[in-house]
Amino acid sequence: MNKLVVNNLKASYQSVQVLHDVSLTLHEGETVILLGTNGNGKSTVMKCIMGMLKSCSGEIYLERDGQRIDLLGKKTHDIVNMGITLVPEGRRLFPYLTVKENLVLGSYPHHARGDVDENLDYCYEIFPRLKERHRQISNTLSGGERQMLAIARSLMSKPEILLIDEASMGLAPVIVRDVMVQIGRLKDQRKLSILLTEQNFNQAIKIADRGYIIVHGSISYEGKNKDELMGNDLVKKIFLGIE
Amino acid sequence: MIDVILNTIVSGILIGGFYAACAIGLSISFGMLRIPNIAHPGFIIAGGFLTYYFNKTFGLDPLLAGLLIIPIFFAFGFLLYRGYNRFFESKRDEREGQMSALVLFFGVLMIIEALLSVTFGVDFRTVTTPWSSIVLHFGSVGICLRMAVPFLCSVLMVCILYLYFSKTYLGLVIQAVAQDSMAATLIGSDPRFAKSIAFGISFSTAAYAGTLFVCLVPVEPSLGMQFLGRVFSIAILGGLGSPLGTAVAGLIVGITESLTTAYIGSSWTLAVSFILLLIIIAVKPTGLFRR
Amino acid sequence: MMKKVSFELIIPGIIVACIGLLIAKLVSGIYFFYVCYAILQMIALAAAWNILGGYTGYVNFGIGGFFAAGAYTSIVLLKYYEVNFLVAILAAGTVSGILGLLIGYLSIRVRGIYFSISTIAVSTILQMVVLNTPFLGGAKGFKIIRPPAFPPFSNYIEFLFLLILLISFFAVAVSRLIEKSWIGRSFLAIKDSEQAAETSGVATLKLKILATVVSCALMGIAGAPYPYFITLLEPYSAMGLTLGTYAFAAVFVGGRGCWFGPIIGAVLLGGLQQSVTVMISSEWNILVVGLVIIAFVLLAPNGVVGLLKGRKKPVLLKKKDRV
Repeated sequence: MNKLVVNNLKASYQSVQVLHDVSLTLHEGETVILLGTNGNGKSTVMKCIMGMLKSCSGEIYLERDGQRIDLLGKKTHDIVNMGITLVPEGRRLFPYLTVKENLVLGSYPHHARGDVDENLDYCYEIFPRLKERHRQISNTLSGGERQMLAIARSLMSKPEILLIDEASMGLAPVIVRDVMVQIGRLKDQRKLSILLTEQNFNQAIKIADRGYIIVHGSISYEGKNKDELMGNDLVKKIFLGIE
Repeated sequence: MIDVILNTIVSGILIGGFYAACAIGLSISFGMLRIPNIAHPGFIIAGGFLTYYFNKTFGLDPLLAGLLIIPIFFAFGFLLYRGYNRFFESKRDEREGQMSALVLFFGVLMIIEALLSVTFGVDFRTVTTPWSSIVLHFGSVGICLRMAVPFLCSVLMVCILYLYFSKTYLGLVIQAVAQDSMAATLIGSDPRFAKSIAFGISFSTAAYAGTLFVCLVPVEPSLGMQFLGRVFSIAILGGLGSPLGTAVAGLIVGITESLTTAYIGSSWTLAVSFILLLIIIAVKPTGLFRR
Repeated sequence: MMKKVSFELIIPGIIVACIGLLIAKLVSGIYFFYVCYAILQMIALAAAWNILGGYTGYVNFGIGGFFAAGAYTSIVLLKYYEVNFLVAILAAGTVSGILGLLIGYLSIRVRGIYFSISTIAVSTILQMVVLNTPFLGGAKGFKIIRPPAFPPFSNYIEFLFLLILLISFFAVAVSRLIEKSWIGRSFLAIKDSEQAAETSGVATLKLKILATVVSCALMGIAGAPYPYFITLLEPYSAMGLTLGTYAFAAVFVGGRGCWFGPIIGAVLLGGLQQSVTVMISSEWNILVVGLVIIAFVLLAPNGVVGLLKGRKKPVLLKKKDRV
């Protein structure tokens, strides 16, 4: 069974420690949500996994066919080439390139280049809006379209593990629902393992298999399934406003 | 009367194409990589002198000699970016780094000029080829191959770069890195590598522009400083980072200079590009063709 | 403010003038005054450059242009209109200051690099104008005959020496005044983060233009006595690279954003330049200054002052300031 493991992860910005012994596991084919409100370290976990933060310690490794591949200390582009990719907070599209150019660039990793056309068709199929707008410059897209493009771009690299940071940020509720539905479909169609950070509990729980709650930089609760998460007191207090 | 105007404009176009070749490398380094390489014209002159050297010593055709020096300049640019990255981009914040780099490249420009003066002397140097003196006549318009060949080579260069940046993976990645370096790592590219390549390309264009320069007119070490105004006004006017924009801007400057020489006097020609530069900076610093 | 100005400017100014007179009386060799003139001129230009470049981070490559604007203004007024030397100096400062205002308005709103390139553009255009104007001597330049010496000086160069001494003192004093005042603190804020400064109520654009004007005006003033020093004023040497580049290299050698940095830098670099020029040709001269600039930018971005400060132990708070 392949999996991504984060063990006792510590991270700090300058002298402020923001993650304290975070441990989590993502198994093959799972959708796991990492819940937490602003400033609790969700994005930091993502950045550490992707090797974008130098000052982190602990263990991050990939278990693939019984082999252990350490990710900590590797460069971001090498990690992407191993089939892990991140949809960053705030989309981070290439603003002056067209939709199609953005997508094609997504297939830059060597293992994905051969299947550009196939992947492009797939992306257009799940996000038909992108096909309509494939010649448009990406910074003229709407917020929802940008999020779709960001997700589609990361799919172009044929990832096995997809990390999505704050998919719902800045989107209208209706669009959040659409995006979540699409992410849910991805898991079924592409056998992806997805780690999703969210503040929007109600939407995220629909597609989640399991979940963690992160508070002040440490995991304060681990829910083994949807029901456990729904019934948890901390969830009720933080996300549902029920005392 | 019409003939004079027509001939003036044609020679403006020919020289404008060559200017585009001079400025396109700056458009890449300053526009895409945000490296204020004001030593760029210095490297053009250096390329010209190297071509001259190869031509005189080994009797090579200058256009061929130019192709030979491209790899040298490419490697130099590639490595120089590594050093730049180490000293400026990773250590200092962007603003401070750029200002220091600006001063550094100014120093480099001076050193190139001094070294060329010491090695080759301050005389004007040029190469002559069998085709240099051929003039083709189209009706009343005469086109000298000495100007037409550099023009065609420049056009070819701009086209190649345009295709490279819009149709190849690495070319697109260079654009991507220029627009959002962090996102570029997330598509699995190494921004440092992409930028090194881009800087290498920028230097290669300088080398070949130098080759065309020495075919076109005699060169002399201190011309670098004069070309500074031209290359910057063309690069900025062309929208920094757009090969086709640079080509159009080159033509605009070329034609304006040509008309100035014909109707105002050649002693003002150099002022044209500098005045144009001030106007662009004051009115529209993003250039005409920013997409 | 007035009291401060009189303490920092007038009284030390009189003292400097007295010392200058004393030196002029005591030293008899003419070569000494030539060397001192060159170094003092470099101090004046470097201090002027530092007001904009050191405090706000905008790099001016056109020192030669502003300097020559001052030199030409003064020689035109002195030669054609026979005005008083003081009037000529003030006029030189005004002309260069107006040029600074122009260039500041044109380009300082956009990124710093555009400003730097504009300064090159302006100085090149000025050079073209001089070359094409017979009234200004064209390419041949002005030949200037120094007036006879007048008491208490035994040679005219002694008078020029005293003049440039006062000018360089003035430039340094102005930059020190700016550094120690609220303007200097605003500049520090601008250099740190322009946006933050702007949102905290610092009028960044006005201050930057002010700095440009003061800086350029001082360069013009430094240029005013130059025609009499060089005796042949022509566009290539006055507006050429060497003069201006040495001045701003002096700031990098000494230390940016610190009023005494330019003095240290100019003395070191001026000494080096004198010895290099004596030994070898002008190309090597340019080569040396180019290498010095590169070395300092890469290895000691804060100049000699930075090196000295870096070695010091961290400053301890005074007892009464300790928490």
